[in-house]
Amino acid sequence: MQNNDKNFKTMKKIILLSAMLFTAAIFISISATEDIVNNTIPGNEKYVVPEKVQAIIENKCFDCHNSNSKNMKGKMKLKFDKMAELKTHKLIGKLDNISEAVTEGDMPPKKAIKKYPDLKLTAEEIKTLSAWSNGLISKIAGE
Amino acid sequence: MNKLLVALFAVFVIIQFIPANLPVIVKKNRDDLMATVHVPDNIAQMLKTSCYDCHSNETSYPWYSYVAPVSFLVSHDTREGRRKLNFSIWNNLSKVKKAKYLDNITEEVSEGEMPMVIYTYLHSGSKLSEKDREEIAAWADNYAESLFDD
Repeated sequence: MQNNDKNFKTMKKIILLSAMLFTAAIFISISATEDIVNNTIPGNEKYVVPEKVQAIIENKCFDCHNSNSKNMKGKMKLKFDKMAELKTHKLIGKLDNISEAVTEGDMPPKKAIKKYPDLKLTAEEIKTLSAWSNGLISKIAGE
Repeated sequence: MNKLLVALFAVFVIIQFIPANLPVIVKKNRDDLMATVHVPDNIAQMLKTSCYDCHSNETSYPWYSYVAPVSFLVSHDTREGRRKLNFSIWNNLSKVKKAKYLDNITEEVSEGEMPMVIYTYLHSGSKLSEKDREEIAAWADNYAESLFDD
């Protein structure tokens, strides 16, 4: 009898714990969904950045090309954190500029590389960046 | 002092024999922007007076651009200008390239990077006002957007 009682209490605890876990799971999944929703600005599904490309951008481009950059010229021409908000024609223009600038070796600027040699893009990285921007352009422009 | 002046003059005379290779002028270009796209008159006027000397094949060289060492500078800038953007071959460009150039025009003109200061200094009437800049930027942006109407 006492044994039965103990079993019942354990049972109750397990049910309670399960309920708590279940509730927690629901909350986590809701907040995860919210994260995804918040990361998607309407109308920008076209701008997709694979992890490999994102890593190159963060290491070699983002310091000058972001909306809080102290480099006025870099900021004026290109802001990677605002790319997704651009209209189609602007996005295409920027992407084609990126592809040209890296393949022709205009970017990162020679001056910057002299000061920070690590900024230099490797041949592999240049290929990755230009393939990404050209691929994205043909997807968006259908050309 | 006299010797120095003579030496300077001698250098000046000698460099006149170094060819500057000014880019060739082509007056009629059937693929030119203005020949193939409708550009509003006021914009066309501004592009012609403030951009076309370097960004087209229709360059008009003032007399001093034939005199070294100025000729070297003019030659270099015109060649670079045409390489970066040449309105004379506009019609041959893909929509994507046009979008790129129009984006560059918008940014460079509205930020006051173009036309170059040395150019507006030497060519009266080529300087763009704030309003001119806004009009050119708006034109370039609208034109680019119209290329991708979908």
